Amino acid sequence: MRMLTAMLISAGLLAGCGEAVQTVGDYRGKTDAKPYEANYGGDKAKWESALRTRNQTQNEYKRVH
Amino acid sequence: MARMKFLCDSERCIECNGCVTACKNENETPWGIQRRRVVTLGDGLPGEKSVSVACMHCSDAPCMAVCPTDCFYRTDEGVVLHDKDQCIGCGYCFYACPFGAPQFPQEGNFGIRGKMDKCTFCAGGPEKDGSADEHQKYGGNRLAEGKLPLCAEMCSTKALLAGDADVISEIFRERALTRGKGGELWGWQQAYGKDGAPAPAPAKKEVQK
Repeated sequence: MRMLTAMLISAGLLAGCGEAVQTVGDYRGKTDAKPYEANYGGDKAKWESALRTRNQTQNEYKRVH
Repeated sequence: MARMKFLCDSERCIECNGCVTACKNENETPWGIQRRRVVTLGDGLPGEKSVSVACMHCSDAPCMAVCPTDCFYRTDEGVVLHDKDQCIGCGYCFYACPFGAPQFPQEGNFGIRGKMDKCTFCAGGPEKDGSADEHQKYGGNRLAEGKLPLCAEMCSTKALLAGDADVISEIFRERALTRGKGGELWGWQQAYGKDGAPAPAPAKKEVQK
């Protein structure tokens, strides 16, 4: 009986050490279009290329020299 | 494409607040809403540093984790956005965010807290791209136009960089290698003398009486 009580208590205590799975809930809002759909006709590569060019305008070592 | 990120170079930021102005203008945010602001450490002291802060579009965003209505989503480019129609203005995201990015408009005579507003990386929101609805709720959508956030694009010293994390970190790395650090920095010795000590004052010319 004492053994069983000890087992139950230790099981109860150990349960407190467990970590519940925490996941971010699924998005429940409206769906958003891809950024390359409206102005780039769905051409992702073209859009990415435009952004890459734009990115490099921030690099004055390339812009000046 | 990797993840979109902001990077602020504190050695270059001159606290001009151009990014703050650009953001307000592009997104036409109401009075009291500061999606971006400039924080200065050691203001007025030699070696003061300023950084421009807004939503950092965290890879594991705490605002997203605490939102009771699950109104946040992350785009394929890593931009954290939210649906204002789903937001209840509870303010949990404000407490969770380490950067103080979520902003709440004060609405009505009793200062009722409105729906959350934050930096969208100039990517609009879940409305038709380029529509009036999108602009009214979330501001401009420059990303859909193949442009980067206006705050970074118009930064006069290019302290604030925005874009693909790999690309902007490479730009910053090249810059840091070229300019050196500490006393090697351009202008430091002229301003503060060697090792941070004040530069000796120029000898005064004797005034002829």
